[in-house]
Amino acid sequence: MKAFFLINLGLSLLIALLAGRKRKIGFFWSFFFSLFFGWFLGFIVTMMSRRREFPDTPPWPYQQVLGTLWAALWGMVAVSLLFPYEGFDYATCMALCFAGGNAGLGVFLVLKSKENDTKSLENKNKFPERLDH
Amino acid sequence: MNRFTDYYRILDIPPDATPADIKKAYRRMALRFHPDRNKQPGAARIFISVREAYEILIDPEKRAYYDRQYAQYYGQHAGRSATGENNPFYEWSMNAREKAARDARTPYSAFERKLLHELGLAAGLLPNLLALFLSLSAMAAGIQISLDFLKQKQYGEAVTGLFLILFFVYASLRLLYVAKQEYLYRKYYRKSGT
Repeated sequence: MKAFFLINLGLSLLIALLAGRKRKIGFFWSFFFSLFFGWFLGFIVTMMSRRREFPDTPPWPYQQVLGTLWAALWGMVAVSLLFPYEGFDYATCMALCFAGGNAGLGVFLVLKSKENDTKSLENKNKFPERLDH
Repeated sequence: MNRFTDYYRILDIPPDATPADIKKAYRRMALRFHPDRNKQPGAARIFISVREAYEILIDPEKRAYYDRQYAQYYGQHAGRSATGENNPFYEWSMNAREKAARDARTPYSAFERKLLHELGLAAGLLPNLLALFLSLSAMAAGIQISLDFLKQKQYGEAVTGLFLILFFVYASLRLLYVAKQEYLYRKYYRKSGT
């Protein structure tokens, strides 16, 4: 099990460094999904994301609501799995990973739905009104 | 009134950016803030600023002139007449804004095609195809396993398999879309020779 975890960790890092970093999903989320859902699904999810230089696509309708519900539901499952009746075994660990990954997916959906290009860029003062002097 | 606009800041590029960097930055910003696509208040203003900045910075003559004004403004902080009506900047700026207004009226899809033809983008295709191949393989495996579960009348597992198949169908379609787009960008990027 240790070897399995270490191989998955190494592959997750590799995917996040080589692919996730250059894409809209980013290093953190690419690493997170690869680690929690396994490198195979993590790689596919990372590659589904477009490169950084491509234009953004608008979020789905109700993405924030869906993400919140998903995070809350799987978050509760993950918390309940943290206190198993019969101690931690392999199946509990896997279930905890799956629930944690899904809770993270909900948070990811909420965060992505909140990205507001115009506002965030204006806040960074990249688009000042003309500087009169 | 004397005014100065920092075009490098608008395109979010350093003052020593290459023409390729300028093109990339322009394409990214223009597609993001095209008013037909981006309905946020202020998007149209940003779109026009971006086009104006691109028009000035991509032309070597205009850029050289602008860079002198830029150095004057940021170096000595004197900045007397960057876009006053007595210098060519006024006309350049107005021309760029007219073009921007025309582009803003163009439907987004047509504008995107136009940009693709004009600018292009470099992107690797192989990782996308590898991911697509893996996704299709997983889908095929999922179908096989679900059918086996159905034969053994294990309906719960078969339904779980069905969800996985649906995910991989979506993933394959999405990966195909991303791969196709990156291929198109690369093709036009090579064609433009930048």
